[in-house]
Amino acid sequence: MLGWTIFCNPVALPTSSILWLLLPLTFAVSLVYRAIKTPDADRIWLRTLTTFVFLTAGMAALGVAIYLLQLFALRCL
Amino acid sequence: MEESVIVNAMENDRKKHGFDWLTATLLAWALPGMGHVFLGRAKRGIIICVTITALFWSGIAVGGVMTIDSRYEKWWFYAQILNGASGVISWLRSEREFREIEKTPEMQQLIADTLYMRAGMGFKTDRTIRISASPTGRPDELQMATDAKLAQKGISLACPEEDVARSYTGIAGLLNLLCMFDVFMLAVIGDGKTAEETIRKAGT
Repeated sequence: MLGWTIFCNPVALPTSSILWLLLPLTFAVSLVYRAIKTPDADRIWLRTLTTFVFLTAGMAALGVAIYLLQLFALRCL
Repeated sequence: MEESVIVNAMENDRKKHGFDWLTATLLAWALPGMGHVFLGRAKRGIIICVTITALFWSGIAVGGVMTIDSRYEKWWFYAQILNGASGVISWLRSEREFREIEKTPEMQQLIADTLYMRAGMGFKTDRTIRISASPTGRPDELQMATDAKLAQKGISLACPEEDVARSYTGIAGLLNLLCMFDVFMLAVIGDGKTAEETIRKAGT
């Protein structure tokens, strides 16, 4: 049995957890983007939060739209 | 307002700060956020440093040492290496694993066969070409043998870890590219504050 070492061996992720891992990624993108773009440095966190919500909601909406589109396409076939 | 006033104001802005754009951009690449710190934007620099570094190493923690794969995942590799020191360290670690695998006699034989086959088919025979995927885009025998060896060592990547790890590390690199571009622009044209002040004064 091989030992598991962090940063060396991959972690066994359950497939169902993948979508949740999108949230930290979206938050990181929002934070870096706002750290660059926000003129007032004190407002970075607030702007990050709004960007994060917009991004997440936008991707969820896009996901639903594509899901409905493929349902429609399957019925047409 | 005359254009020359604006141009002079921007030039004064740049001179006041006296930024070396090359040093700033290289720093931004080497350690994410350090370019901003160098330009006097410490708070933003620290936020960028912590976020990008954490995102990159989270990806490595999920995918392990082979998340950086300069041989079979070239496009991801180009994005990942934009993480600077973290990217280079991880790349050197994965290369060490590849070299260890290649030392075995069966892999040496397979490399030699692939080299011979590709030379016969008229492809280039340098190291980069002989270890990359086949011209058809399908994984060749060498790649499959390498994957098998990595699996034996318990470090090969498979879905879904592969997708998560490469997305995290690759996107961290692309975010750092964005930061490098921001640092470059700030260093070349300044932050505009002094210019704005001069223009306002000239306007009143």
